[in-house]
Order: sequence, then structure tokens, then C-alpha cells
Amino acid sequence: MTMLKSENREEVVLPLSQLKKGSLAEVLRFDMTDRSTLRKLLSLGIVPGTKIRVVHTFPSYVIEFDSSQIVFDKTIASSIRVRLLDNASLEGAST
Amino acid sequence: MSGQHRLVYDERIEDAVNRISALLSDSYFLSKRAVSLLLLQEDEDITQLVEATDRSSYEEISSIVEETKQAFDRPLSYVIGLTMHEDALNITERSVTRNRKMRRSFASVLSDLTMHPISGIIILLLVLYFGLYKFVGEFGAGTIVDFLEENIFEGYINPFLTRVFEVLIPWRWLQELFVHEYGVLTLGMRYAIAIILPIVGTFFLVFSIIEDSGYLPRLAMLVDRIFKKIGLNGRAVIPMTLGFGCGTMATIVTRTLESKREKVISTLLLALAIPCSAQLGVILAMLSVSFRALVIWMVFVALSFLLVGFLAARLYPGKKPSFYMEVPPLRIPKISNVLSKTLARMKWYLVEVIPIFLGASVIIWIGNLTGAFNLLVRALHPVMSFVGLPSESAQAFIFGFFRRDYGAAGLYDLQRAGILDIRQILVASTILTLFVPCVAQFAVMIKERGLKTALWIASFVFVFAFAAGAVLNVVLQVTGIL
Repeated sequence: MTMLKSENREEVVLPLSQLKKGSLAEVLRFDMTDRSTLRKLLSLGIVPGTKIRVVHTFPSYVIEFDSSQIVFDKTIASSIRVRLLDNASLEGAST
Repeated sequence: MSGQHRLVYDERIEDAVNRISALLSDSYFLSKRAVSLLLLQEDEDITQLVEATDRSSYEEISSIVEETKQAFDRPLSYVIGLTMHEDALNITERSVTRNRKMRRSFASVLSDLTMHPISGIIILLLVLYFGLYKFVGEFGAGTIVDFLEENIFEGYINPFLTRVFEVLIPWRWLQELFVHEYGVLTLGMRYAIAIILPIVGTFFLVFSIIEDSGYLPRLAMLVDRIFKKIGLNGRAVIPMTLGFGCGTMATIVTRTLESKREKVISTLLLALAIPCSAQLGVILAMLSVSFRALVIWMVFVALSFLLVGFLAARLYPGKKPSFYMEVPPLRIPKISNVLSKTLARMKWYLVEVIPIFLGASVIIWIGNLTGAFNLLVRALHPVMSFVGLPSESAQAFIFGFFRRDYGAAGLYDLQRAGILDIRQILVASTILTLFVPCVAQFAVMIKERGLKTALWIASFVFVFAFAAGAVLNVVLQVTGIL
């Protein structure tokens, strides 16, 4: 059952700005035109494949990954494409 | 740590690096490999440098860069960055052991609370109340200032200096340069050391604690949306918060903002609507007689801040700033770090700002001696009656330009003499808060933003302060709130 659910979810690609507080997701790619912001995100350690948890969505987005937290605005959040993961698949992936 | 760690990139990038390296001369401070990699990432500084240094081969180099770019569908800086990131992950994987405890600590709960829109604002108000009002306002501007001023300066230093200069200099007019009412030593030095230094010192202490605890990025996160409306982004909380300590230092710190637009808008707002700690201390003391007046003053100044920021963002078009920041864990600051930072900032204050203040005292002396000040005071009479203030208050505003708190202190004297009623005190404090920055801040504005922008900001602030004062005066009279 869980397997099926996570396989279905894998197809869902959505902007990070649509995630709810507490959700887990994997970063897929960046759709931003601003190269310096892209470089900055990279240097902060957000790359495709990074598994993140959404900590806050208002007034700004705060995400958590590894042991870091990063805050950014809605414009950046909507240019990060992610794949929604559920708890089971995240734990499966990180061990 | 034995041997050199070497990163290997994608074949096509490695190939380009080798070809470019062969074309470069030996005159760079970085290795040829590093220069080539930066060229591929289109680093502006390095590209300019190579264009100037290796003129003959530059065309060939840029065609290699172009060709390599075409081979990837992502920017090369991204491709190279990704490889570096993977490599960094491998290194940490090998050398770092993680504690896999998942228990939520007190610090992480508190961290969440600081970033929640409601509890975050409550925490901010607590920080302001205890940090700024209680510690800086009551302890710094009250207890320490009273002690230094009344006991040390009025009790020992000033009488001693006055006696020395009366013996050394026979002419009263020249004695007045150093001692007596407006003397560089008895007034300038006393103000700098006994009034301003304790206030900015306690402020810098609180600011260093806040800075080291990791609170500022959380504050930035809370205000980003509002700051976007005024053409700034969350990052600007750092200069803005510092402005409550010393506007001069804060204006220098606007350097850290990214675009010219953000720098200009924040310089303007610092000059207009952020009262520095010295000014705050005196204004709070004046308004403490009426809680209602205090609230009106706060709301009115905050509204001016937002209104002018909002208009400035519309009138000064530019790229919308994007906001991102790392949020460090909340930590208990190390006392030694806090103290050394506070001392460094106080030292900066003494070295950079005090000479300007002493210079201002000399100008005040010349102004009094030549009668230029009396002319200015008279010229300002119509402006004073326009905003419903007695003509005596003109002097306070003129002094206010030389030192914001001189102005506030001047008003304080008028209040104690019973010349101003509470409505006039409120109007005068509001004008003084908005009114031109002090000489030191103005000097830094010229240095950082250029003479033209600085003059433009100063004249706008002058007109806005008095216009806002007149509006406030009329509103107060019509509504009868105060």
C-alpha cells in the first residue's frame, strides 16, 4: 500500500511554494532566470536530490535539510521544482 | 590531510580547462586551472583581468568558453558548482559523525516560535522592551548617564577644566571655545563621553548579543514581506536595527545590501525615520509624561517610515530584490565574543564619530560668536509658527543638525522651563525624529552615496519633517486627541 502511494506521488512535480508546512520533498530542478540567486542556493547546499522539510511557509519559506535551515521568499520558492515525498519514502531513501 | 585533494570535473570541462590553461600566461595570482575554471563560470572580474592580460589569446579563450557552454543545457557555474557540492558531501560523509538523536531541543522549539508570525512578533516586542527600553533606555541612558554626567563631569572634570582655561586664556571669547556653556570640552566632550557613549555602548552590547544568538536572520524572515513593499528585503533589518543605535554606523553598513536601489532607499529611511539611541533616550524622557503622546509619536514615525519607503520604492524603479539567508541555530552567545565586538564598535565610535562631533562644537562656537546662529534662528521663525511651535524651539532644531541629541536636549530644556505644552512637545519630538540626520551621518551619506544623492535626501527630509509636523499639529488640534 505504501509502495503504491509513493510511486504515485513520484509523478507529482510542483513548485516548492505549493508545499504545506511540515511536508517532505526532494529538490528536482531550478526554474530561475537570475543566475546569482541560483549560484547562492547552490552554495547554501540546495541541489537536485536534496531532501528537504518545509518548516514555515509564512511570512517567508523556511526549509530544513541535513542540519541546516534556509529562509527565502515566495519568488524563490516558486522557482524551485520539487517532488513530494511521504514519510516512508524519505526514511527509505536516507538510510 | 596527506596529498592534495583534486577535484575531477566532467570530461568536456576538463578538456576545456586544459586547452585554456595552455593559452594563459604565467602572470596570475591563481593557478592556471583555477583561472580557467573561473573563466568557464563567466566570473566577471577574472574575465576582465584575462582580457587585459592575455590580449592576443583572449579571442581563442572566449571561443573555447562559448563552445563548452553550448555543450551543456545548464549554466557552467551550475554544473561546476554541482560537482564541487558532491565532492564536499563525500568529504563530510567520510569525516563527520552525526549524532542521530531526533529529540527536539528547547533551542529548536524556541527557534520555531521566533519564526511564527504571531509568537514571532510577541518575541520581537519582548526583545525591544527589555533590550532597548529597559537596558539601553533606563539603564544606559538613565543610570549610567546620570552618574557620569552629574558626578564625574559636573562634579570634577568640568569645574577643573574651566578653572584651567580661565587661567591659561585671558580672553573670555576664546575661553568659550573650550569651556563654558558651548565649549568643545565642557559641552562637546561631555556629550560624547557622558551621554552618547553609555547609550551607544549599552546598545552595541545588546546588539552584539542579538547578533551572536542568531536572532537577526529570524527577524529578517519575519519582516521580509513588509520590507519588500518599501523596496528592500529582509536582509535590510541589519542596518535598520543598527540605526536605532547609531545612524552613522548603520549608513556605513548599508554597503552590505546588494543593489544601489536598496542602498539609496535604506540610507533615506535611516536619515528620515530611524531615531538613533542618543535621540531616543532624550525623546523617550520627554514623552514619558504622557503615554498617549508616546504612542502617537511611535505610530506617526512608523507610518512615515512605511509611507516614504513605499513611495521611494515606486519612484525609484529597479529590480525587485530576492531574499535568501541561512538560518543558523539559536545559540547562547559567548561572553568573550560579545564583549570584544562591543568594545570594537565603541572604539570605532570614539575614533570615527567623536572628531566630527567636536568639529561641530567648533562650528557652534563660531556660529554663536559671529551671530550667524541668531540670524538662522530668526529665519526659522515662520517655519516654527507654521508647525505651531514657539520661536525658541528654532535653536533646538539648528543644534539638532549638528548633533541630533543636542536638539532633543534643547527641547528638553524648553519643556522643563514650561515653554512647551504636551502637544507642542509631541510635534517637536516628531519633527526632530524625522528631521535631518546629524552632521556625522550626513558626512557618511556623502561618502557612501555621493554628494548629489546625500543633498537630495537631506532636502527631502527637511521638507518632509516640517510638513509632517504641520499635519500632525493640525490633526491633534482638530481631533483634540491631545
